[in-house]
Amino acid sequence: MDKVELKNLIDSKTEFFLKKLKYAGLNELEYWEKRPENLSRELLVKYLKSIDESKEYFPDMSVRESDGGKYGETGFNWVFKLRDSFLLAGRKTDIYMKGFFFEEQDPRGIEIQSFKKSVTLKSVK
Amino acid sequence: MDCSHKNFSNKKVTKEIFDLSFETKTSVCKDCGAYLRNDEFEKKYLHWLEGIYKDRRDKFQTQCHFSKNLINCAENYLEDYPGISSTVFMRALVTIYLNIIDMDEKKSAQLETLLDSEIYDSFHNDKDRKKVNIQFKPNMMIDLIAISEVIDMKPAAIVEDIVMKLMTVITSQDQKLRSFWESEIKSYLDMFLKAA
Repeated sequence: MDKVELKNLIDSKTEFFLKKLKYAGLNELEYWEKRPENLSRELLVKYLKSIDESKEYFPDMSVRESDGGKYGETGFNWVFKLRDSFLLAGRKTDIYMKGFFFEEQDPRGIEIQSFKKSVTLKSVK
Repeated sequence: MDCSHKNFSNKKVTKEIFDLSFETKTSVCKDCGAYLRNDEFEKKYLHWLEGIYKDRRDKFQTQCHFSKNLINCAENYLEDYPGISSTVFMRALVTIYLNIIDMDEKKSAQLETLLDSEIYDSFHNDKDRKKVNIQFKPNMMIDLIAISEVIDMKPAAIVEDIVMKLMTVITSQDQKLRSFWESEIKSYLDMFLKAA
């Protein structure tokens, strides 16, 4: 996907969120890695590659609180939070991710502030 | 609470892998200690890994133990691929599994459903085993290590499991498994082995 196609994809109102996430992340990725709480960048890239771009998913969105960091002022001003799963050597792994797209005037990548294993609590009857 | 890494400074960080240390400067969050692995970091890290790969091939090997029967089956299969060793073949199987089957939940679920547990168990439980060292390229090796940390299996155990699964597919006479092999794996394997 070339630069213009990627810009159009990220700006699009009709394309699915996961497709935008996949192509932006595989184009330019800024990942804050903190081991062992968070997963490694290798697995983040593996997750992005495994995204089924035809899947419709609506992440939680909120206004970004901080304007610090490389793309703090030029990145998109909303933060996404999502829960999904992917396979690691055939084992299903649930994940949680938080980040934002950058830059508003030149949309091309994502900054991921958190990417970790998600623990789903089961209700006890 | 998730940190948004708004307070950071440029610092030297050390990343440990293969009992070796990679050092570089990058942004480090003053609040939580997370460090930025961006494309610039990755370029330096992969360059360093390539250097290690030249000098220390042993770091990029997994020492596996396979049933002699499985090795014989692999060698029989390779009669159609002259010049390809069984270790190159096994590396191809692992690469295809992680990059094709693992990328698609439907394919993975289909494989798990179709797998012939009798054949898999015969490979798994066979006491007559042989040591096989399989060497990977840096990218693949760091992926295996990253996966092993999460699923709590050693890289060699992951490789053994994948090779046993795909050798089960190859050796089974089950029509559905044969069809899965022909449609989902064989073309990738042919491409990989031609390039090897």
